[in-house]
Amino acid sequence: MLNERSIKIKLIAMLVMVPVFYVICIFVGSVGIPSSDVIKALTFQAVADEANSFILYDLRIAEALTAILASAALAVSGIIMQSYFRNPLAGPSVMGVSSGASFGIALLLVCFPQFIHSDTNSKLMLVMFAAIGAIAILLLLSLIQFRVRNIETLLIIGLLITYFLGAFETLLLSNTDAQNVKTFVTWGFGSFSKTGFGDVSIIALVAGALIFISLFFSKALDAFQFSDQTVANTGINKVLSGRIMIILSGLLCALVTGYCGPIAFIGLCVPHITRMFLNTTRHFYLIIGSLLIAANIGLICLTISRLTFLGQNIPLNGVTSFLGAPFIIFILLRTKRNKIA
Amino acid sequence: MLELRDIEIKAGNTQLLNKPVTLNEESRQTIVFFGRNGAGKTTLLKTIAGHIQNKGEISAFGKNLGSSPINAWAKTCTYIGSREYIGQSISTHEFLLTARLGFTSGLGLYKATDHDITNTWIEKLKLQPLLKKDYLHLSDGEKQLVAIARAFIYESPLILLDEPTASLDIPNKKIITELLHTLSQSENKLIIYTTHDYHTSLNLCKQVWFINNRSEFTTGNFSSLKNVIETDFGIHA
Repeated sequence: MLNERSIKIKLIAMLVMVPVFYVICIFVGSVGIPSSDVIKALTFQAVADEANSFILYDLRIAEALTAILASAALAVSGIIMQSYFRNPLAGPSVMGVSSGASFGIALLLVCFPQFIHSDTNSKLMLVMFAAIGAIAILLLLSLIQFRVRNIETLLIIGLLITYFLGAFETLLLSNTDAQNVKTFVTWGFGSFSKTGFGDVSIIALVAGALIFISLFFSKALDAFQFSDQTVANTGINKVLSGRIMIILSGLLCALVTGYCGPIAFIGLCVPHITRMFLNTTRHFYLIIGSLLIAANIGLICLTISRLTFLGQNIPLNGVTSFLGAPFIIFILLRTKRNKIA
Repeated sequence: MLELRDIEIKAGNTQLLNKPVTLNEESRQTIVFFGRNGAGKTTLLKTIAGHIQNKGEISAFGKNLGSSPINAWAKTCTYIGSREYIGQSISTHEFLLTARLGFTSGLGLYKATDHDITNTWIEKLKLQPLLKKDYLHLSDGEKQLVAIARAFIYESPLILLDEPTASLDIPNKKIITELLHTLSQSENKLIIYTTHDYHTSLNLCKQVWFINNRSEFTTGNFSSLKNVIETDFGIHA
């Protein structure tokens, strides 16, 4: 009966890998900490040394948990976008959705700088503005989608939207004080480290709920990836399901972008890796697979970014782009020949 | 059994259907739909399937398009177009199964009956050798067989096929056409299909729909319309 058995085995394997990479990730860092303390932290025992305790719990563990949650959310956001737009190259970072989110944040920084502190409320404000920006761009793209027949055209339009919003951002930021610009630029690097345990639990709750709802759109996503004809024959309300998909995808992307900044390539690459690895087009498995694979990849990228390179830590987006861009080129070259049935 | 009323389809400047169409004969028949390129055949089929919005009344097998929920109508009428867009590779088996999506819950998990029905059609159309292959790498003839299998896996009583014999070689055109006429009998289905392969369908078709050069839609027995169609197409014996 199809390859459901092998899919399930692969999913379990991916699930088992998460704690492995998590442990590795907690061990690696620029400050040397005795293994005994690390093991204590991993088993949630008190660490005697106060500095080590702070580094392990508030920095490394919080960061690793953020990496797992944020990557999973981005991957699910990406897979919904790819199936909704019937475009294997769709993803939060290439379609202008991340830049929509970042434009929302630039707007917040410039217009309401009084909201920017590092407390939980102001972070929720960031997420809200990011969400408005991201969903606005997605709705715009879904309207444009009906006017273009070629899938590449939509991507180019997405890139142009990125440039267009970039122009506005420059304008906004050039008229504000240096501190705001610095906040914005640092935020733009992307990082899993700006979140405390309070933020982590909010991300977990919201992302968990959104991903759970997404699972119930597996059937609709299965149909959407083919033609309108299949959507209609399956008896799915195209407009309503489509809108919900866009909102789910936009919220997931905005949640991560608001807390961690625009993280490149994870939302674009992970769905591909999942499809290739599971060898299926069924979204129930693809969504679960994507979030597990994303959790692993997020931890790997975070671990690499902690390794010091020429005395400097590598910014997270440096790592994801370094690994992600060549992978997408590989995908493009591979799928060129069998594009349309 | 199939009734079309007040349907507004514009072909050029003229109204395509100016009187109601009613089919009351027994369901098990195949209607061949002739008409030149751009005559409005696809538009009419898609309208019946509900893929294109229309103000008119469309009802089939006791269900009404306007008043039934989308998924109920989808289970009455299936439209299979000439091309299916597939963006990434998918095994033929999985692609066949997608025809059962309408019967699954939101999670899209197939039940044993879904597998059984799919397997029945895999056997009937002898698709076993194709199952593991990537759908994108099948030949045009194989893709057409898969399309027909999917049309039946949906299990709707009314099946609309848009040019099922397009881009097939001559033997395959004949095989597919004969298959459709046989299956409508054995499976008790109403099948309406469009085609430009006039000569292939010649010996098989009994009931026809026809849109002539003046965008007039007619239905009837092939024997009584044969001369009209041939004059219109410029075929001279």
